[in-house]
Amino acid sequence: MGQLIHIFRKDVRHFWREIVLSLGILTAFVWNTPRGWLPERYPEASDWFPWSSWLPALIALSWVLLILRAVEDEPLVGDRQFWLTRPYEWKRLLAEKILFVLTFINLPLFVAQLILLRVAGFAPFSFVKELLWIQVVWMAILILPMATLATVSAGMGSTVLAVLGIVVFLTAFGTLSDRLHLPHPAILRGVPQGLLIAVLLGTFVVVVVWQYARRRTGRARLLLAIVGSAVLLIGAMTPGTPFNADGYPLGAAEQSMPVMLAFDSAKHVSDERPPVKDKVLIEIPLLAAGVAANSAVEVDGKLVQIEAPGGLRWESGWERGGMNLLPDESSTLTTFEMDKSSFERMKSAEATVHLSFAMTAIEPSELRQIPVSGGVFSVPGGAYCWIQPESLSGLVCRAPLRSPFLVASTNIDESTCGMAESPNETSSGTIFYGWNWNGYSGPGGPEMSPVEVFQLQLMHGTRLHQESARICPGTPITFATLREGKRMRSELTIEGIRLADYKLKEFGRGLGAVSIGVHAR
Amino acid sequence: MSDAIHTEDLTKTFRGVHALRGLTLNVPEGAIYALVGPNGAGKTTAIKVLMNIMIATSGRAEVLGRDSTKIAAEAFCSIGYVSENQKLPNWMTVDAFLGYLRAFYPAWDRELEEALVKQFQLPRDRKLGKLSRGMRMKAALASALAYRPKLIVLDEPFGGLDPLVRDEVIEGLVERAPEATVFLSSHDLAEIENLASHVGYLEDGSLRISEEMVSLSERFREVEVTLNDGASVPGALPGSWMQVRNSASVVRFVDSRFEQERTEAEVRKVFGEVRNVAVTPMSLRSIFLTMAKTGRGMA
Repeated sequence: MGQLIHIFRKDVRHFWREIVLSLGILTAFVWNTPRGWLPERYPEASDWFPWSSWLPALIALSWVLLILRAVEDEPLVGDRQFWLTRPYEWKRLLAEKILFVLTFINLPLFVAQLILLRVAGFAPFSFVKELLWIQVVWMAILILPMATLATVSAGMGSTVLAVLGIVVFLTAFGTLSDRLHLPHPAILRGVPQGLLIAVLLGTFVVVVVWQYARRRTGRARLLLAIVGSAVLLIGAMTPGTPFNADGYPLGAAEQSMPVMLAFDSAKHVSDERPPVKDKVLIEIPLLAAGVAANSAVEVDGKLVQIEAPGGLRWESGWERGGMNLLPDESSTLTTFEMDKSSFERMKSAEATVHLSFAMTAIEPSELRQIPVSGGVFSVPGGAYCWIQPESLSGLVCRAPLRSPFLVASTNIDESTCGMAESPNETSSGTIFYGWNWNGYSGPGGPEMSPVEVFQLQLMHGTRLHQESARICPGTPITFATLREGKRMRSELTIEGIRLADYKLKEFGRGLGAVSIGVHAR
Repeated sequence: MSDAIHTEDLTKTFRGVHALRGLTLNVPEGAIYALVGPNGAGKTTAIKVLMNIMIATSGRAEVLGRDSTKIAAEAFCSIGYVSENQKLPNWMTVDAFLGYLRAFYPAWDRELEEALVKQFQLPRDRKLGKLSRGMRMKAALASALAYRPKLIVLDEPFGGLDPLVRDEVIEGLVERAPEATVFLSSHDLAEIENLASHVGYLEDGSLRISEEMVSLSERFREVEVTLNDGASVPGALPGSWMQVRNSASVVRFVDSRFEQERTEAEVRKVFGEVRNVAVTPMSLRSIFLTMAKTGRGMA
């Protein structure tokens, strides 16, 4: 322990400028950040200084600098360092570097995030677990990789070159792998991306420990190159997990469905898309009805089957969806990509299209009507909101760590805004909705600020014509947190359809394929 | 007397290039052993293998009774290592450097540190990076001597030093020598001659010679033979005669196994009666120059 503290004190003495710089930037960040979401204190919501949006990047850069400087004060590459022939114990030296990082990167970030949560009006110690997870994420994506590079690089310059080299390599690999159409062998199906990441991080740990214990730089570099390349290649060649519709039972009766879909024969295709070799995109208009107030339907997956006279058949297979159907939406589109040869055979025939949708009902859980105040008010989901000062058409909210899965709605008849502030063509009884679509409940990412800001724009209408609500102090707004409800499958058969009438027109030239998807409007 | 350093058939290869070829070496405890040889002979590589800075390709080495591959951490409390091109923490002052290292060594002697700083005239408040090459070497040496190591290992300690600093370094070493074994590599044969008790000559990764300085000096002599009229130099000469040159009636050579009576007997056997045999002692520099030029090992 004595040696550890002794080296630690030496590093602090040596790098006090870098430490002060890093802590200074972090302090500026803590000082500036609430200006964007604390209207109680900063009603203008303006930044402290012009380039304050760069502060998170600067903090990360200062951390990189600290890591590189600390590791390279006892360089592991080379054979001329004085410390190699002094009574350093590698375990204590490694522990000291870890202590240095924890003290001047992790701890300040943790404290800064506690302060920001406190300033935002949340109970900071209720989120310790989540904050610690953020630390783990930063460790995984920045601290450990940079420390690993520093242990196998001969100085700051070569580390920077190595980072640039890796960026160039990854860019080139990404471009090439797209063009080369790498095979997706079945043997790799089911290889979780998490496992690949764990292997990579495990290799980083092994390399760091190995370098401190043995200083076998050549072999450590080789190990990194082999594992990194293997993980990259396997990751690129791993087939995407196909959508599994097994958990979506077929709805017994239409009444039980959270949405009713029907073919909209009156609509025609007007969208365009860039051409993709040997592929065409079909867009089918649908009518949607039945989504309950403050609810929604999420289409998770979709299957398209087409039959045409002469025994012609085509099937897309289950594809991931990506469509949200909202209560005030009456029409939508579903698109799918066909290979050109199949399309050419079937395009003019009177075909039958079977559409299957795997859906999840999104239901309100905590529902509360709140007459909005002129200041900040709390809403379900643990967030604080206030009226968007510029437009009066929406709310700005702040939430701890991750914004809630939330919907806000208001009836135009209940608006407290004067006539001049209300849209005059909106019919009585119209309900405006604002969604914060955040159904993801997994672990968080590398956040610098633990306070997430989101907006609830209360809108009504179609994609082509949307109206915004006017919100004034006293206007009652219904807030509901959302949760996933039952899952089910809905099927729709369209007979006598000419696919050629629903093919998207092509323009210009494009490089990438447009994936199968569904667009709401 | 046991050996402070012992190597057996030590080999080090860098991408197919042999830096050491089966180096077998013994450095007795208490010796001042100088490893000399031309540039690229493998001296620094040998020292780095001994200090576990590099790993040998094959063979083994023991330093103070410990396998050299196990030398780390507390083993360096008994070893003082200084290298000509060692990277020191240039941002530290001399005082901070010595203060920093002090905590690593239980046997650090503050009085000795003070004496060394005075002896080497080190400016305590000056940063290492601002010191001259000689001053840096002296600072490194002070930091390697202040804990009274059992073994002092110096890699080219005199390289680039001016004569005054060189003398100071040697003086510092000589004062410590009675309580330690010193193993050093150097090009500076003149200084080695006055300092070393043992010498090893390394060439192309192989140890050509390793023996006590006294015996080496005694067995190498420059011999000048004045022949009688009409005498000539025969084709076959004793193997210990090196660099044989003749002009008119004078033959000069270096005898690497010189013994007065034996050498004179060999001269008579080769040339018959001669007019005169003059024998001159050789400096270490002359001995190694002779060996380097001859390019052969000595028995």
